[in-house]
Amino acid sequence: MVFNSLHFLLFFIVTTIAFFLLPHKYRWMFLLAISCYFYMAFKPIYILILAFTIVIDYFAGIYLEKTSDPSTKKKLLIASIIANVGCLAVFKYFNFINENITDLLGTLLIQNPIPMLDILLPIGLSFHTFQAMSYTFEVYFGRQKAEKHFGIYALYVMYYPQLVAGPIERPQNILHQLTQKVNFDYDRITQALKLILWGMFVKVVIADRLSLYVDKVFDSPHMHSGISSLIATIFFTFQIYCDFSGYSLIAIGCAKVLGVDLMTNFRRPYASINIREFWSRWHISLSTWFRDYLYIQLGGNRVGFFRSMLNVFFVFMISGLWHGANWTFIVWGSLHGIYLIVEILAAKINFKWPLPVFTKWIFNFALVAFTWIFFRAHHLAEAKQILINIFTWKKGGLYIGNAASFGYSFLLIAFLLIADYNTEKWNNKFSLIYHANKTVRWIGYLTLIMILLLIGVLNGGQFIYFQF
Amino acid sequence: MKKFAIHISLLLLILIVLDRICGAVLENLFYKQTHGDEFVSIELLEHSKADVLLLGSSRASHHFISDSIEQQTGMTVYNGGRDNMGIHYINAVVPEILNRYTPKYIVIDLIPNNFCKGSQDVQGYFDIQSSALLPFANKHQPIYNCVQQYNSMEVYKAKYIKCYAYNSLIGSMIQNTFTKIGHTQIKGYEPLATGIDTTVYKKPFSNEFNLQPSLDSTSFQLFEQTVQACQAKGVKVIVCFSPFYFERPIRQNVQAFFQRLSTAYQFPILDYCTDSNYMHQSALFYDELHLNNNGAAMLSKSIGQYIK
Repeated sequence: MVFNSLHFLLFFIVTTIAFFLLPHKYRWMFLLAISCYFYMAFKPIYILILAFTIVIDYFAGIYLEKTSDPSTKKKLLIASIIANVGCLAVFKYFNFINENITDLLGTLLIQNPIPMLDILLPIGLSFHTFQAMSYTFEVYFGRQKAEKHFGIYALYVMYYPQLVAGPIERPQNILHQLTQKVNFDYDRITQALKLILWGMFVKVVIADRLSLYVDKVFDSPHMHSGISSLIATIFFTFQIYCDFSGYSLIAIGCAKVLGVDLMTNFRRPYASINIREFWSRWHISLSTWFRDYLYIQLGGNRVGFFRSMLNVFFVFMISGLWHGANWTFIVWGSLHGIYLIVEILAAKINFKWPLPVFTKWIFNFALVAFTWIFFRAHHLAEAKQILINIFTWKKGGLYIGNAASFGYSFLLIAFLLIADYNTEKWNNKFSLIYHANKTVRWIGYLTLIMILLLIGVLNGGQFIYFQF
Repeated sequence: MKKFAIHISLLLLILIVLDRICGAVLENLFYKQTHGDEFVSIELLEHSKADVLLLGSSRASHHFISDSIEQQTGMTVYNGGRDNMGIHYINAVVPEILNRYTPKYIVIDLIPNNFCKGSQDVQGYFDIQSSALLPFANKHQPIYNCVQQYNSMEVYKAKYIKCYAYNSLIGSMIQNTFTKIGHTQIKGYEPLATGIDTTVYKKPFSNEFNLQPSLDSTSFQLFEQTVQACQAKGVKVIVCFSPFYFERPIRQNVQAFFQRLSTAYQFPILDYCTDSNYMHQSALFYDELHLNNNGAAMLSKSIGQYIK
């Protein structure tokens, strides 16, 4: 069940009404039941993977709290990590590793005896696994008490708004909210619905519109020119932002309706003027996860300079791998790691770019857009072809496809940039849906809904991050 | 909660009114188009009285020069080929055309291997064709029935949300009504001028023919229904498999099925898929799937002669 489907709309309306009609003491059970239904709408059998990690992490948490022996604690933590990462390894990385082993052995003319697994990747596996792991880490570090109530812990992992694509929450932020009494609050619910509306708009109207062009070019890069490849890359840069931030906004909005505040996941990342700033604005829940549970645990910047840079590179490479079992994601992550290392080095030698802010912004945007080529390509050869098209300025006409759709794409990107600028610089002062005047707000709601209806891509297109 | 319920109801009410107004404006604009993909469907469903109708995908629209066939046969011709349209679309429009008038010939241009499962996402392909049919669904019952059969939710959405059928069309409708920009059709034929770029097309890009798919029974069923509908009205059906730049032999199971139907319903199959007069002739092709103007002239002559 995807957020931009009629199925979800009905699900959301019915379950929200039922939630507020139910007495408080039954609500957690209801939320758990509908979260199970939500997940099972994709592939029912995979609920067992969730059940497995939930049981392991629940008991790991309880015993982590009970024991004071550091060695036992460590063993419990490792057991929990193995269980979670093991699921990822089997379902997400096994075939990738095996494929690479086959290729490697093939060069030595040896046949790989290990067969490939014929399995589908469970939806949102990386997200709920990381959320479950953040609980175990927090209990291990003593920053969070173990949750004694199995149902509430299960709900923490399975809470449907953020189950399949985040934000990847921390137990401190969400566990207590799941048990607090929620009343129907007009202001909170209208705020939440605004988030959902805007999230739906950027996903269905902008991201899915841009994807029509991007898919055509990236799916057959040999057939396209330099200019078309460049435009497709720029379009994808905005598509991925709108797709994922749209999902996050809908998730945050749905949770807010039910009385839970999820963390902000995106803060206008393309307003950044350097990579460090970009990562403080892009997929915040994941970047802070890696910072807290991997980078800092590896020693962060408390170790020597060379080791610290190696940590940065390693964390970004793993972050790339987290996104998908493909070399393209590893290259994507590694490039970001290299960018950041260069920035740190420049700062260390007090090198300051004598450039105006606008030029820095353009340059940073170009660096980020360059990495998205690898992220979008199905394999490295495809990315290479796109790069050849762009950097050799391959001859050929500009692919337009549907002229009207192509035109909308530019208008929508301009609209998005203005909207983000308005939020960034003027705190939504000129936003229709956040305007002080009620009539203006209503005009804003109606305009967005009508645009959604008229030029939204209404075929329930999958969210890109679901595959992770 | 009361305040919220009132506001939501009010919002819904305004939306319904807005949808009705916009829907009416868009419907009006839709039928005023003077060129473009939708215009071809409008002509086909509402105006054309041609003796010979040519139906199919973009390959039909680029491969058959209506004027050339008219000159050879002395009959009026309209090319109703449209981008991305296949047997689902043809099956929907033919009964509606036959309700309005009876053409003498209907030439159906098909990509034979598209009748296999796995050659493409069949449901996805049907969805594209359903979207193209949706603006006509509320006005033409056979089309409504056809779309409902495979995408029941779509027709309900189009029935109750008036703007829905025109989703994503507003730009092209404005373009095709108020400007001359975009596809230029001559009695439905859309010429492609340039020759194939042989530096790009060294091998087929589409890998559908490397698959080992089984037959798609739904597509064959739709095709058989279409032939039956034509024959019930005494319309002669000609099936054409127009040329490809690269060799694309028809799969044996597909060929056997078409042969069986051809014998049962007595319709001819003009197979140019592996015709050496066309294959690898870069001067005749625009890309691996589409003939250019020269290729279309050659094929139209051949089709015209056959009909004559």
